[in-house]
Amino acid sequence: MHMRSSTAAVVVLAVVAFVFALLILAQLKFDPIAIDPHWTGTPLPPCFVDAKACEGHLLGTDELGRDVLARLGRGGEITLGLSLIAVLFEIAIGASFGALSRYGGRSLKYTIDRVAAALSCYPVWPFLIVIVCVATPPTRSAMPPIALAAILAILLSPQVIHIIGSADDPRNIAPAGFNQAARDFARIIAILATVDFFRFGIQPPTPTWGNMLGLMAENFQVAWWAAVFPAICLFLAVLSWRFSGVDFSEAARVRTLEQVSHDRQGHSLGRKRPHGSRRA
Amino acid sequence: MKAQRDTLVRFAATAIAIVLIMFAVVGAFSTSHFASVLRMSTAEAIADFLLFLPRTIELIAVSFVVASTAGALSVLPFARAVWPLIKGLALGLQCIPFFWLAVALEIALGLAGMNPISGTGGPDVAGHLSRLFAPAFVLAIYQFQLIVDYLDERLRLSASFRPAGASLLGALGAQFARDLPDVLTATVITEIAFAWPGDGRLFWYFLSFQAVSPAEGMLLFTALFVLATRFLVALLTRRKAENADAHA
Repeated sequence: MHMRSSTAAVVVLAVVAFVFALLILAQLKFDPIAIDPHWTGTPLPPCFVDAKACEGHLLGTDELGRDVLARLGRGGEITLGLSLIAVLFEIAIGASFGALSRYGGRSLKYTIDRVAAALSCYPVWPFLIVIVCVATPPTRSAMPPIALAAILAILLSPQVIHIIGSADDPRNIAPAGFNQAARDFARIIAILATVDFFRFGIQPPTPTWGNMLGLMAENFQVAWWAAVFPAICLFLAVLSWRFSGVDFSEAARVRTLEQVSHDRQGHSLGRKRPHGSRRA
Repeated sequence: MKAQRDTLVRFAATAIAIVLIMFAVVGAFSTSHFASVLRMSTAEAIADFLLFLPRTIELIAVSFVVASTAGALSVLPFARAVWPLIKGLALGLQCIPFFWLAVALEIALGLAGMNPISGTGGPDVAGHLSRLFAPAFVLAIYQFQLIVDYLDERLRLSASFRPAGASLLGALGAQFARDLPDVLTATVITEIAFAWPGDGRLFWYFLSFQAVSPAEGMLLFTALFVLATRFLVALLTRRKAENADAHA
């Protein structure tokens, strides 16, 4: 099991490095913010749709004649980079308050646990956009992305605090924490995309995978590629992190299962069973 | 008896913490720009909130009943063969950004004639149902995916094809209590995408006019409502091991 989760970690890291390289390469040919000189008012189609009309834009251009592939590249750097910063913030906040709750005495634990439980009652995305609204002037252009990431990290930290502060078996902290972090990475990507989509986050013309979809309802029938490719990128990013999360959590779950069967029957029967047939 | 009193005290302390968090947010940004074109008294804001509340409750209730029925059916013994399929479907749905799913399905169902693109769908019951179908369907998809994910987690812990040590109903309740904030977020997005006249859209309306105070009030109410739900579920299931209790 340890073998499996470490293999998963290596695979995930390799894929992440590869994807980041692709995202940077995507911007070599076209500037993500520049408008194509061939643009005549209608978006250019992707090359696999119409090889002649695409003028070298592999995934076509958007409603303003900007290269979709280059925008996906820059947008991916920003979306994934900011999500990574947010998840690191979350782990830092969760680990410090979790440790305080675990080792800091009873009244401190009670206070931290109550505040964490209270925070987990707030719906994350509405709370985030309310904070953006009160913290910035009505133009909504002043929220620095790093502050967005930090606030999101605070709002999502209760789960990590709970895992570190209240785990029965200290050996479960690392796998359960990794699982939560991978899950939250996927969640953060989705939440930041939603915030950008509704124009509360990073503002155009800076591309992110979320704000590239901002006009998707209007563009769907004119330029479906501008509405579909960022969504595919988001889908794959979230999917890959969900899969890594599933794998990390396997180690923790199997240990819990072994512990349960060990406690109940006095021997670990669960270990001998093949992995897939447990439920049958 | 003592355990129950401890639970009560714990929930009361959490409620105080919820209010304090909101006060901290309000206080931290009290010097910022609060100008709003809405000139609205507190009583008017509350009246609006109550006016739109039934439509939100309707949307959440219908979609929850549909999603939990589908979720409960999919863990019954006869569905055992297709369970991996359902799990895969739920994982796939989880990875699609929800706002994209809502907008895309709004357009697709509208083009398919299953969602009135403009207007109210008609004043009678049939018109109301035709208006309700698409947003309830989208929200049910979201809740179904959460339910399958939760049941999968619980089922993995137990060797049998049942949630560990709890009835299916208890598991559904615990799932509802745990995921309620996410469901409410999805409700807001659904109501915006489908222009559903509920409190989610009212919240959006307030924010788009920079009327942050009523939006903050709605948020505070929501958090207290989530806590009350978790308290009720914890009382009804009465198990310390339940997630609902652990979260509160």
